[in-house]
Amino acid sequence: MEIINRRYPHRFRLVFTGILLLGGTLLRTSVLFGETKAVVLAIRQNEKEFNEAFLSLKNELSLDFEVKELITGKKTTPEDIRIAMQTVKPRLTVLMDNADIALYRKYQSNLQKTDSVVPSISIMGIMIKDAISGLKNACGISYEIPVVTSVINLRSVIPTPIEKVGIVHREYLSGFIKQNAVFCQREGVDLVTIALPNKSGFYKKMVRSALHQLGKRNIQALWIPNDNKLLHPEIIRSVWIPVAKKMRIPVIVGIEILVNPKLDFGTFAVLPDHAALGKQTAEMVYEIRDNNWQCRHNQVDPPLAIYKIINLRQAARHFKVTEDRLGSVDKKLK
Amino acid sequence: MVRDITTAITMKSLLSPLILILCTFTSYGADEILYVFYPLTTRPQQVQELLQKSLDDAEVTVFGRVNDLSARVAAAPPDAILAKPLLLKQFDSYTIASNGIRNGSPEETYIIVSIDKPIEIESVHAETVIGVIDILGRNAMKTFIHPLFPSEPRLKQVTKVEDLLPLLTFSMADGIMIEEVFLPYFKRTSNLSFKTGSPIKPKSGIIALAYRNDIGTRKIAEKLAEDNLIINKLFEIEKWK
Repeated sequence: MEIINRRYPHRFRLVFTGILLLGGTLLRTSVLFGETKAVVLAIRQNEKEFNEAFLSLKNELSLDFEVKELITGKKTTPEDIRIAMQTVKPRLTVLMDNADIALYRKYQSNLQKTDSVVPSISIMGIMIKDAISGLKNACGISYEIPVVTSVINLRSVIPTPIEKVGIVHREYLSGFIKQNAVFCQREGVDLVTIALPNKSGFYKKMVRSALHQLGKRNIQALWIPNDNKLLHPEIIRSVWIPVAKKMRIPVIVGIEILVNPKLDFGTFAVLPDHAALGKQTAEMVYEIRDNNWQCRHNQVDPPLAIYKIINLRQAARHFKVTEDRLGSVDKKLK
Repeated sequence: MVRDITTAITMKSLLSPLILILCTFTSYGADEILYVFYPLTTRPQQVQELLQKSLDDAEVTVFGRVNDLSARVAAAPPDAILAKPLLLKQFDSYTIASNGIRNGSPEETYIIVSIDKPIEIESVHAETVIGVIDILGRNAMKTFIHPLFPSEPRLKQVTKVEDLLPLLTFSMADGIMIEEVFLPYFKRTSNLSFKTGSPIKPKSGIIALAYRNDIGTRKIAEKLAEDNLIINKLFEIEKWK
């Protein structure tokens, strides 16, 4: 496995590039000796979540593919991508997160018209559909957990009815919410949503007002998007927590820290399952291979697996949740 | 000083055989090591806790993915494995000792679940996408599934039972092939309009316990034969045979 870490100085880069070249030569040699495994190149950062997804991907593909990786950092350039692509000669690339998608886009835009375009699968980035728009032979798996997935999972552990779910979000999420409203409706759940502008200096006031409006519309649960503007620590402390406490309804969040029982805020956290995401990506690799190395028209699938955490202290006290309903929950915080 | 050393040596020579005898006895009475891989709607960690409580003569490890089990069996072969009989057949040095029985039969019944319109085996073609749980490993799953249909469907393999639901929710598959016993879970979890095709009986078995061929003890098999209610309820079977 070749690793290039862009955080290293230039001379180390040269050494790593040399290793890559050697790896490429060895690979070509092994092809001569009859080993014809196609190469999948993962372009990714060296963070815990990416490592977890990568290891699972590698494990799933190891029988039929040679899985290599290019570790990127702040100093990585499209030229580094070009060198890696030329050296490793992958049949497919897996791009992990928006920064690497952007780098790959620049690399792809510099390709000649006659150059073949290797398929890419983008994962673990924000709004993947938008991020890969314009990329050739590209598909992906979105990182955002669909609202409907979170809601039906909450519904399966909480005995109180959940037919109306409130959401406060910024406008950029409107498309995602609208799409989810359709899926939720098929499950008998209405989304009551309030959209805030993408830019404002008054989110604290706006969130408070939006929550009060939702409170008057008899919502039975609250779904909170992972939006750092709306989840600014000051807004969490002075608006979300006190208002949610008054509402006394289950709160679905996407960050573990928000279901910490000490906060008495989030009831149910739904997070991506990174190992399962690796498996789902591997499935997509096989699909693309079986489709003659062509992605199906910038297809972006939702994530299939999730990691669930419940604030059992709050859920038991306010919503009569008992342990026997929690067989499918990964973590219970008491 | 000399006497001290002599005493120490004498003590050591006396203790060594004793330790050896003790070790032998400890090894004889040791817990059997059991690996389990059997996708359920309950998380592996909780399955492990439940099994460990019921099988006090065993050291239980439950795996969530078939690849993890296979790798572990290769690296550290356990005394016994509890899994789908088809999977157990992949491990040459293990022999099935006991099969789980449901509705009087050791055979599993599968159904295809879809939305709005049922899918029958005959209507499945090369472009039909069927979601399945990966219980055997990717290629072995293909070998298992394909003969059940007139043409080879495209398979989407997932790790957990619950991961099949999004395949239907987001129309990523035309149908999902599940063990019939999991249907109530889907109906309980989702309000989608599920339809089911005719039952499929591939003669693949439900669940079985296999022992490594060089293992003489049968503590887990004996425990299963006692028809422990917790274990049987967990795997939705009546008894072990």
